[in-house]
Amino acid sequence: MEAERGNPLALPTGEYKTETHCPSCGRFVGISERCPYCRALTRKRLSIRVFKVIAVLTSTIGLAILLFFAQTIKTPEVKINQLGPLSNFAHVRIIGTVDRSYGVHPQWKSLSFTVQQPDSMGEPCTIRVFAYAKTVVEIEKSNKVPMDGDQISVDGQVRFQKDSPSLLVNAPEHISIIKRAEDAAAEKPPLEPGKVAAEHVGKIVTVKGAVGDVVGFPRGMLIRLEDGGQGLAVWIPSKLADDLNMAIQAGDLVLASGKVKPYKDSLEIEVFTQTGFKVISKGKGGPSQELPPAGRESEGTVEEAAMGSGDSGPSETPESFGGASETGLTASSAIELPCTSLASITKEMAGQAVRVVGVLNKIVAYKTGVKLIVADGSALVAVWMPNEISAGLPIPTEGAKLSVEGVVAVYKDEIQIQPRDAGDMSVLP
Amino acid sequence: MGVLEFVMHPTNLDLVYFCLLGVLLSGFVSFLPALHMYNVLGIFLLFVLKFEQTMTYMQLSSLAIGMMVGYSILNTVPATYLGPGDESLSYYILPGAQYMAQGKGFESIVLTGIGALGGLILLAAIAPIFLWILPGLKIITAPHIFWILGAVIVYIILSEWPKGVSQSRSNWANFFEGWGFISVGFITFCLSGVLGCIVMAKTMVPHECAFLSILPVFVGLFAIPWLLTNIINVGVIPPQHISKSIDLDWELFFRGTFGGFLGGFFSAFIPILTAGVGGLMAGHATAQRDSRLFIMSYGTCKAVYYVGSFFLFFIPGLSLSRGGLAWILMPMATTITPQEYAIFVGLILFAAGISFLLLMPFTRLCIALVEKIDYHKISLIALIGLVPMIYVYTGIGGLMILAVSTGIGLLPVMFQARRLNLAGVLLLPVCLNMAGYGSDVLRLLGLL
Repeated sequence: MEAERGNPLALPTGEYKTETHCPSCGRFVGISERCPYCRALTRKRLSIRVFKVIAVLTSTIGLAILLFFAQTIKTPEVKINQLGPLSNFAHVRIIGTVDRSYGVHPQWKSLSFTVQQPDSMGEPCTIRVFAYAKTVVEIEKSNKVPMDGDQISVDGQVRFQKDSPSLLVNAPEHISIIKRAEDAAAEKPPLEPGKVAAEHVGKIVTVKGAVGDVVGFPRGMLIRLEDGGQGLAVWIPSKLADDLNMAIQAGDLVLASGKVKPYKDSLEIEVFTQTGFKVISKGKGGPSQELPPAGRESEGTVEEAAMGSGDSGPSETPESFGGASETGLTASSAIELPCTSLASITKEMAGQAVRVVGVLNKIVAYKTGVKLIVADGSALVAVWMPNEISAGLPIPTEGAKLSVEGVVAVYKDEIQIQPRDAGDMSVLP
Repeated sequence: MGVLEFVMHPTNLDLVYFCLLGVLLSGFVSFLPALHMYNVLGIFLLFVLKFEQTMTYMQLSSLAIGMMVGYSILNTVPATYLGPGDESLSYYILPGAQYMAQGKGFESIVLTGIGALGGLILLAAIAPIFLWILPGLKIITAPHIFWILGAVIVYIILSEWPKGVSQSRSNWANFFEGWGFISVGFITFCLSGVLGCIVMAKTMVPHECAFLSILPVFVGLFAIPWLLTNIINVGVIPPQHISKSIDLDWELFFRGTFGGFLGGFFSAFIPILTAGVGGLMAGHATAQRDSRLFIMSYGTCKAVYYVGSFFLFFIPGLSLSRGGLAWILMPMATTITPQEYAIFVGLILFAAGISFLLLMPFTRLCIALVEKIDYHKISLIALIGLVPMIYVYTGIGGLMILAVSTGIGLLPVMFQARRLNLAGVLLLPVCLNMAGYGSDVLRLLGLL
């Protein structure tokens, strides 16, 4: 043996032969410990037998010990700014506040949100957290989908890409909600709508106030709470509005919890959960600046007031706010906006809903939609109909009289009216 | 010529330099017994070069391409000469080892090199087509990956075969003789799968070095068992003949390249798979029987797998990370333009040519080395160096993983199953996760 090892190029003889050939019949047995021909025992060398035992013990008992050890390991809690490229694939825990929740993707069913925590200097650090569809199903079942402002603890695998870390969550147990933002906000006395200020941006607040106006959009519902001025906007996404399925009317006293966000030049509150919006008491169709005169005078609901309005006859009344009827918030579906002259529409009105009547002056087609130039004798204004709204609609001919409802917007310094759905535009006789 | 001119343009010469450097470094890395290039490169890049401060992403990628291409061609040499077959340990000797045992190791290595070169030329030739077909292929296959992996798992387990040759009067004895080897394969797969679940669910190494958490697993499953069997090996290296010609014809070349490319590309494109699995499946699919075909096809498969999986990372708009090196570079990745993609294709060809030219002197050097130094000693030194290195980078947790994975890695060697079953360490947890049962299994194991 030693002689063979001394000469690495020696031919296999000696021990090698006794290991590979039967000591009884002399035939080749290879790895077999019992000769397949004469059944004689061909014991392998001690080193092989020892390693066989080591292999069995470490792979079974060793694996069991490793499993036990792994069960006792507590996921290390780290700060976001401690994560670097070398932390790739680490399983870590991050505790922080949900800065932005994108919710569950409607098509892919994946979950994504960002968690924020201050670094040692107090500057905010954020990390994107995501989960794939199959995990998200379980997260949804256990009601652990994080919402904006929630304080959470999340365990996940670090994925470091292009200088920024993200965290992959693989199980619902890896997300624990320490405190729901809504609950935290609910513990504080609700604010009056007029008290919501810039300092609240990004925070979850609860406001209590009377509904002044309800406007439906394809993507959600905008409720203005009376604050003595333009009104504080409360935005309810369409899915949530469907889930709420409650009738809101002007004058209702409501409690809304959500995240304060800037919108154009004003602030609005976005509600995320069903429990984030409650009607405390039903109103009596109280006064609202947006309502037609009959509505203001009537003691009935806005719906009744609008239907009874003699200012706008049926021929001039567009069918409804399609978004409102889709969302299940029924009150606004019958709200008819007063007709506004084009000359009175200013850039400052951006975000407000208006109704105009005019003559179609020009049609400009774009790849993404159609721009209609409408004139009413006082001014010209552009009506932007994106493809998803204009598709399927008969294109009115130039010179047709139109009634258009929509939100005032400013695009490249030009005032536009943006209808929210196909029902917002109608051709008048 | 256009590609060559483009690559050799003065503004791109630094990339050629780094690529050449990568090829030379791969020769050095290939000589480190039992260590996988990914492990070495990860440590090398992040701890030694501090590349983030010294190199641009393009330069780093060029270095990595050089290393990857060089390694895929040159590592056959030490793999052939630093671990001779031992019939008292192995049920079968692979054709490469058989060639070496017959003194034709040089010929075997050159056959592998020709296969690798053919595969890389084919890869570069169809690189422009990748731009068109791979994004679509990715979308088509993405929802099906979990069952593809499941099918591969079934294939691995079912393709293990009974190796018992003795016959007894007892039916039970015959039954156990037949099923013993198959069971070892299955148990190896399951144990390595459980190990994979544990390692993926819990980080047992310091989180600052977590990207190396898989290092002790692979060193334990593959490297240390190889070194240990080398140490107890009584096989010897017979005198080697440096041949001046190769027994190969064009038909064999094209068949080997085609089969190897199929297996290499399949394992490069489908996550977690390795060249071993891809090569086995492609070999069966194309009915390879000739040992020359096997050796050459293996060379193609290995090169296409290593280089192809890394290359997918650079395809503009594909966003596909396959293979360990892509994951190592991912934190630094930037958007690649079609022009830069073309440069990488050129660099692959350049590195493949240089590596092939280096293959023969490198083989002669290795033969000279094993004539002078006993491979048992080389293996022992490597083992002594490897364990402290694991401890330094991964701590006590890494050593625990190393011990268990070594035990699992020894099972197929000592009980005559295929090492392919060790692929369960990644295949099982990833397949379970993709199928949506990952968290259920972790719950069952008490890891949640």
